Amino acid sequence: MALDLRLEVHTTDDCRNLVIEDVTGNYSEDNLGGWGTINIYPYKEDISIDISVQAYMGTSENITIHEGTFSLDTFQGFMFTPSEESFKGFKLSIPAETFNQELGISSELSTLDDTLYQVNIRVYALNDLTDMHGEYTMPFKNTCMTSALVSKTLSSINLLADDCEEDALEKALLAKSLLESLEN
Amino acid sequence: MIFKKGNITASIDVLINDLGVPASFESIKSYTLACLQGSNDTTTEVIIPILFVVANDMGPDSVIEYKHSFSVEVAKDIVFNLNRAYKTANLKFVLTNKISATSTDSGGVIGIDTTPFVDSLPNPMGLPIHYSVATEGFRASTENGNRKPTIGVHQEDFLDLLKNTVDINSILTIVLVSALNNTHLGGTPIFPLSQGPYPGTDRPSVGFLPFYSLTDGNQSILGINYENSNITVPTYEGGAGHRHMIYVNLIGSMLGLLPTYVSDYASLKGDTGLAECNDTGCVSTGGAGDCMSDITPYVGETTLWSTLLLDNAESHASTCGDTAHPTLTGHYVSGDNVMSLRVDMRRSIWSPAQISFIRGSLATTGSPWNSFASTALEYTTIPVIEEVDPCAEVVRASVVRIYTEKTQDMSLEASSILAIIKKIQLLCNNILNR
Repeated sequence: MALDLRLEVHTTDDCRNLVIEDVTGNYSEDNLGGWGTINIYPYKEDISIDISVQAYMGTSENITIHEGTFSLDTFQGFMFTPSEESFKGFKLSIPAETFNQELGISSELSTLDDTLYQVNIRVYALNDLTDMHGEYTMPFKNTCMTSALVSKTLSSINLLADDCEEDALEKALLAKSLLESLEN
Repeated sequence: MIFKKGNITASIDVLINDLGVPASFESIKSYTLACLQGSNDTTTEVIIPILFVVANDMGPDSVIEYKHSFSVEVAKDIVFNLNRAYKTANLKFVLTNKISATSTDSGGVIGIDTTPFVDSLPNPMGLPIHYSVATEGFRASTENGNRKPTIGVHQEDFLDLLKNTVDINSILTIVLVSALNNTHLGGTPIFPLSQGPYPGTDRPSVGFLPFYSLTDGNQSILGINYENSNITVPTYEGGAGHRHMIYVNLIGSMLGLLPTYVSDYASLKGDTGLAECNDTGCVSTGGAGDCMSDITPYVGETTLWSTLLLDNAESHASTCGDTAHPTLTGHYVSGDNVMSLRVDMRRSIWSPAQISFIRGSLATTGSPWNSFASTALEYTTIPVIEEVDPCAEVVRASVVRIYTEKTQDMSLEASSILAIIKKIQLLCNNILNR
């Protein structure tokens, strides 16, 4: 079995950073697509890793796709790895400002936009894009700010107040339900 | 027949040399007789842990720039070929997951910088000559007689390092090197394409495989370039497409599948030109490197060997004729020796005697192969080697690259998500701004 890359993508709690983490793991009987053994080893001296992100920006009626690539060699200042020699388990944390700049997104916010992202990782021989060893693409729905908004809304409702609050509660619960449908 | 003219391996030379040493002779004899007993078990699959060591000269004229991932890819290809060839003997080679009992190295392939082992020897005129790996190649052969002395990388020093690094008694170790020393067979200097010790000696079971013996594809993967090295690259008559047979033969020679005759063949006493004999037996020297008709031939049961060798028509197979057995109908007498290796580009053609010998080697306590097999579980955790046919280069290339999941146009999903987010934001903002 070839290298079967796996990522986890999320934002930091303050919605300011996009975090992309390698969870491929080591090769084993239970993880035949893991790093090493019959698959390529994740040594930094042997391979290059690029992460490309597409962001679907705009409105539901008018979408613009922004794309940018984060080479781990170039963005090593934003990356943490458990081992100095290896990319295995890397955690790339990109601040919103840097992210928007790389993707050409005009935004005055210091948080990441809530929208759909597509994250693609490519592993290839060091500086040789023609020698690919693995690739993996996954979607990521960012609802960080929206989730915070729903929480704030729910906490603003006074359940002991008049009927108007009941109407607000109903709308807040609808918002929460919609959020849950997005997250699932 | 791969060993015709002897120019495919230096193993025969090494074997002959060892048989000239009385202690080694007795050891080889004892080993061979034990293996000839065969084994009761010929069907159980036996795992052999295998490690490839890339002897990596860091000098400016190096023929290789070591890349671990590339080397692993080549190692997997070699292992695939070995497994295909030795399947009929139920041998399975598996890349190690560590290089010693206490190591945390991932194993499979390691690179060793050979620069510290470059040797410098004075010549007879007393003028110092500095030999380097780059100009002289990795010299794995030993000093002997009229051969050139050991130059370049000193084999013993390198093996000492290897012994301290790798459990070579538990792991079959193959060293990929720039070049091997020239050797002499039948009076003609030739370039050996591989070298591995006969298992009955006290030599470490470490094989040497020059980069130029790898297939073109594997050399390309490793980025092998001899242009600046001053190393003369020999031409293999078998053609580039058949070069993986060299791997198979290297292991075969290390298994003991060489034409040794350590029993008493009275009729062969004396130097026949085809074999060197003493009171206890003879060993083929190859003579001119051709057929060994004076030595016990292999009697085939139903099929002419020559018809099984696909490359026979290109004269790369045996030139030793098969003839009908004078009395046994349907049997043929091979012009080759009973232990001569016979493989073609698609399969191994082990004789029953050879399979019996291989299994006997595995069953012989104290033999290196017995040690490899008995500790295999300690050094391997891989149940199955990736079954990809490396001969189908095009297919293989696409298999390697087929796991791409293309980035998709997700505009529709995005549109839906953005609409829901907008709705949520409207609901919440209405409440918060009420």
